[in-house]
This record gives sequence, C-alpha cells and structure tokens, in this order.
Amino acid sequence: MIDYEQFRQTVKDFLKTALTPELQRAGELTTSVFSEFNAALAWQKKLHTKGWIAPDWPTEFGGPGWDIQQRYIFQEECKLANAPSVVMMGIQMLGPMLMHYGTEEQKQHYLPRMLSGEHIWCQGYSEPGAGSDLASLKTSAVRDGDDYVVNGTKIWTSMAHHANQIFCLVRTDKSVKPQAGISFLLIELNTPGISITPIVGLDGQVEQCQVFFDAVRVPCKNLVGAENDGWSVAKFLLEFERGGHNFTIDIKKQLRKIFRQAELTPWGKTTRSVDPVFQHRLAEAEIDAMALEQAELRIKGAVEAGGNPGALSSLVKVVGTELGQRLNELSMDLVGPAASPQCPELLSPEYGGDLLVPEHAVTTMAEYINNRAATIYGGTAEIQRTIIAKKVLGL
Amino acid sequence: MTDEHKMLQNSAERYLRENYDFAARQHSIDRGNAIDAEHWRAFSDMGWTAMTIPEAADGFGFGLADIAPVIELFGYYLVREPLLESALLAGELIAAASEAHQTRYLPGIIDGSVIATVAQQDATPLTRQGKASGQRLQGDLQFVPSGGIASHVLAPLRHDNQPHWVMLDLSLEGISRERYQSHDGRQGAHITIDLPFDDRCVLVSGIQAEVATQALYQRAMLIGAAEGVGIMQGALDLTVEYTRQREQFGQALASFQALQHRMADMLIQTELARSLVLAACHAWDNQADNASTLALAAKAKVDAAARTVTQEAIQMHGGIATTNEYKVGHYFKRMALLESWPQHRDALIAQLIQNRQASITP
Repeated sequence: MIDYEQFRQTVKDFLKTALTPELQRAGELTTSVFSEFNAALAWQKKLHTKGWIAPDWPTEFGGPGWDIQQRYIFQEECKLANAPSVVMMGIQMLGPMLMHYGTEEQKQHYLPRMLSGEHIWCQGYSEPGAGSDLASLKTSAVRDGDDYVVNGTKIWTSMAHHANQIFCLVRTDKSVKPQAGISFLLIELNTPGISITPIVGLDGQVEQCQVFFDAVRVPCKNLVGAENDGWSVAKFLLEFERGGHNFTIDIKKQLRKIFRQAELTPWGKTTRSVDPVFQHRLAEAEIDAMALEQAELRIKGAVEAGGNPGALSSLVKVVGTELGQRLNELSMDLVGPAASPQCPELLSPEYGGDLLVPEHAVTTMAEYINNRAATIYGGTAEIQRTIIAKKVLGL
Repeated sequence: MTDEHKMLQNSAERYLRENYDFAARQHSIDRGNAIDAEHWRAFSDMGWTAMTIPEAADGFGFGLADIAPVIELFGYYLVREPLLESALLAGELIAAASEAHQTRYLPGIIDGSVIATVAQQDATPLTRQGKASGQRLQGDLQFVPSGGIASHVLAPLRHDNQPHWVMLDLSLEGISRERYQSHDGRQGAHITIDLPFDDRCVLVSGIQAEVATQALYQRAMLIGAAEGVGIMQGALDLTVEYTRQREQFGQALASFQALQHRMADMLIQTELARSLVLAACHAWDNQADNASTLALAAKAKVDAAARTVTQEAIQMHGGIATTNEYKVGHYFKRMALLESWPQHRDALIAQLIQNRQASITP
C-alpha cells in the first residue's frame, strides 16, 4: 500500500528546496499554457535530475513508476506551488506515442533527449488551410532516395521559436482519401530549407509561429509508424493532448486565486469576498468545478481498469476549457480597470520595477485573452462536440 | 433623425471607411504613437468635436440620440483617439460651467488643441490641504483612460464636505503621469497631483457638482454603450464575412447550421442592445424620468451582450483571431476594457435595483 499523504509530503519537501523564488515567480506570471521559456527549461532540468520529469512514463523509459493518484498529487502540488509549466509537446504528447509506434532506434535516440531537455519539440499539425479539418493538410513529403523532400507550411506551432525539433503530419499520397495519405515525420528544425516566422498574439507576446518548409530533406528513418498511416498515429497523440491533462488542478488554482482577488477587491464599504452577487456567480462555477473533478476521476478509474478515455476526453476538454474561461471572466469582473495596461515587462520574472496595477491583477487580462485559445487548440470546442455527437450518441 | 444628422453620419462613415485602416492603426501603435495626429486634426476639421457642444458655444448642439450611429462608428472602426471622452463627455461638463470656463476651454475642445479626459467613476476625489493662504490640491487618479495623451483631466474634488469638479491642465508643474500602453491601443495613465490650489480650476461646486457628477457618468454609460454596439456590429460583420469564405471539410464554415444559429444569436443580441441604447439616448436627450434607469440598463446590457458576441467572434474565426495582426480580437480587447468604464456592470445593476426600489417605495 502506498502512503499517499507521505508521498505528498515528499513532493512538498522537494518543491520547498528545488523551486527557487525565481522559478516560482515565473510560475505565478504564467498567462497561458506556457511559462517563460528559460524558467520552464531550468525547471525541466531540475525535475530530470530528480527523476520526476515524466510522471506518466513507464519506468523502463525513465518514468518514476507512480500510480495515477501519485501523478495527480505531484501535478497538484507543482501547480499550487506555482512551479513553471514544462513544455509539454515532447514528454506529454510525442513520448507516449513513440513508445507505442516508434522503432527501437527512435525510442533510444529521442526519448532520453526529450527528458533531458536537449530536444525541445513543437507540433506541426495545423496549416493555414487545415485547422479543424486537419485531414485536408497539404504539406507534402515525396520520397527521393533515402530521404523525404518536404514542402509546405505549418501554423500555430507553439514554441517553434524555442524548439529544435518538430513532429509533422505530411501528405505522402495525394491519390487516396485525405486521411489515408498522411504520414508522421520527425524533423530537425535546423535542417536547411526551414524558416520560422513568429506570430504576435493578441496579448502582444510571441507563443505561436508559422514554419515554412522549402525542399527540406528528411531521412526516411524519421518516419514514425508506417507510411500513409500517420492519421492513426496523430489521433493516438491527440488523445494524449486532450485526455492526459488534469483540468481540475488548473481550475482549483484559478479558484484559489479568485478567492484571494475577491478579498483584495473593495466593494462599497466591504470587499467582493462578501458581496453576495459575486459570490453567487463564483459558487455556480465552483459547483461545475466539483462536477468536472468527479468526471475526471471517473475517467481515470476507467483508464486504470484498462479502458480507453476515447470520446470522454472530449467531454472533459470542453468542460475544462470553458469553465476555465468562465473563471477568467470572474477575475476580470474583479480587477476592473486594472486590466488595461499592456506592459509585457510586468510579466517578465526578472522585472523588479513598479507594477502599475495591484499585484494580484498583473496577469488577469493576459490570461483572459490567452485562454480564449483553449477552446480552439487541440481540437476546437465545436470539433469536440461533433466527436461526442458521433462517437457517443451515434448521430 | 434630420438630414443634418444623416449627413454627419454619412461623412463620418466615409472618412473612417476610407482612412481609418486597421493595419495603419496597428502600425501607428507599434511606432509608439498615442494618437494619430492626422486623424485628430481631421476629426475637428469635419466638426465631430463640435457635435454635441451647445450652439451658443459654436457647436452643433446635437443630442446623443441624433449621433448614436456616429458613436457606433467609433466602435466599429476601433477609433482609439479619445474624441468621445474629450468632446462628448468632458465637453458636456464644461458646457454646464460658467461662461468664463466655457470660453476658456470649449474653443480648444472644438479645434482639437485641448484633449480632455475624465477620471474613473470610483476615483477618490482630490483634496485641498493646508492653510487657507497656501492650500495645495492633492490626489491620485488611477487608470485614467487616455490619460497618457490628454492635455487636461476632469477630476472630482471634495472640500468642506462639498463636491466640486476641477479641470486641470496636465502640463502644470506639480502634476506627474505614469503612462502605460493599454490593451485597446490607447495610452492610459496614473496621474498624481500635488500643486498650489488655484480656484480658477473649479468648474462647478455644491449641488451643481452633484448634478454634474450624475450627468457625466450617465452620459459616459450611454457613449460607452453606443460604442459597444458598434463593436458588436463590427465583430459580427467580420465573422459573417470570414465564415463565408473560410472552407473546412469541403464547405464554407457559414454553411454549417450550428454556426449559422450562433451568428443569428449575435445579431439578435446586437439589435437588442442597439434598441435599448437608442431608447436610453432619447430619454437622456429629453430628460425623461426614466433616463437614469435606461442609461444603466443600456450599458449593463451592452457589457454582457458584447462580451459574448466578441468571444463568439473569436471562437468562430479560430486560430487567426488570436493573433495581434487580425482585427477581430481587438474588438474583444476594447470591449473587455470598456466593460469597467465608467464602472463595472455589477455596480450599474446594483444602482438600477436601487432606482427601482426607490420608485416603488411609497
């Protein structure tokens, strides 16, 4: 029997020493799914040294051998202690897929480098013309000797400006129906012919990029799965993107922050923490958070018993992201005009000057803006509902 | 609406359509311009700054209902120069002051040399400190909209248990500003005031100031609400246009009924809000008994409806809408800030409830 309370204490003790004030600050100032890159990398290295960087991985590949509850406790403690988020495209998304579909050589080459942070991965799925309709993607890979020659462009590639590797869906057969002619390729970003254009987000910061491929030669051994079987590989990976995440933990953190913001927000002669109107709205969101938590636990139970989250991961993604957005709105309701300044320097962990706004309000507007993307990325809320309608309801 | 108003609306529409290009607006912001001087000049050349200034002070004396469609255009084209704050809002309070004050400030408001802004509704009033001979005017004004570019600010003063409104030249020694770029492309500021008190800055006092405060912020609600309606219309138009041309799964997004219904809802909300705002402007212009309630209701309605409409616009666009380069997200950002101007919706609704209870108490 695992003593979970003792495990929690072990995690807490580790965080107390490993999570420096600078790293914590970077965690606090995180306004999207990504923390400031250098802090994220520094934190990854610390977790790697400790052997805790890939909680979900089997021990043979470097996982710590925790059960589901331990992993949940670990994530929760990290989040609530304001640890930066580790860039997830490698360890969380690509890694599990490689263990399943990769060759022995691919596993040995890529998995350790993913863990150490030597390889930073980004995801080349969407294209300007292929968003929700991912299967219509056009970036092509044509065989030429021992290489594929890749031409085309990928967009919304988060962190491509910091990454050195990209995994891509490419078209290898144009003559068959769209899903049947797609392959999955691993590409080094420093290969000649690749250029990266950063995209400035609505908050004024760069997180996304567009990646261009002009006659880029990629060794055939970088193919994952069979040629033209990329669609099943991609679907496998997307379910990890959707289902591998514990929304409840994010929601709990957001709620905790709102409680504090409400206490610090004047309202007439008191504060918003005792304003029944606001508290009523907040309680309604809390009730949904409780329901989400229980739904996540049910799904975890099913997975533990050997099932596949399948379409239920769509349910959790819809509820988790939309509830997160509702909580962003409640925060906005509290900070009022303090949402106005757009000053990226205030969000830098190194900044030490005047904050312009109350400390609790620094990230609120950027979070409100950035979190609109949560119902767009990883399959839009509309796509998730279509999946539910088709797969669960059989419509 | 008379021909005169229609003409104004048409010329404003034409000017903004032809000259207020979104890409140019963004370029100007990126270069650090708090406003575009050329537009600012054009606005006064075309008489927009004089729209609601009384005829006695060389304005056109239009009511808010007359020009609500013009205010909507400011939202629709995402105009960031603070004309609404300066001419329509501050101008109105100055017009309620003595003739000397009017003569001193209104010509500048009309010719654009004065850019006036107004403190937030919940700003802590300034104070007069010290002995009668050498009194100082002191205080902090937080998050003053367009406070970074304004030449003057209208601020409340509390002294001897009496309310007053003062108009301060921001270039005076003793006034300092902490400027910041704001998410709606404007330049806001925290303004710190500590200077010898000069009673010539006092525009109105006592009962007159009390009435002016009420009027000022109700007017701010109406102007903000009308701008919000323009924002909703802009977000809706872009969404319809984009979903018509964007194809996924071999068909235009606009052909999916699930999205058509949501766009229909956006239109319903926009028209509901527009109806209420127009009615509230009429009531205001006619000093109707329910003018205050309608102003509160109109702004509260726009705040809630425009939040949903601008969010839906982003969602139906998808990734493109999360970029700074694309217009639709800027409607969302402007609205997010307009929601707490001059006060948050919850405060407006609380006031509305109070009004109702006061009206039914015998």
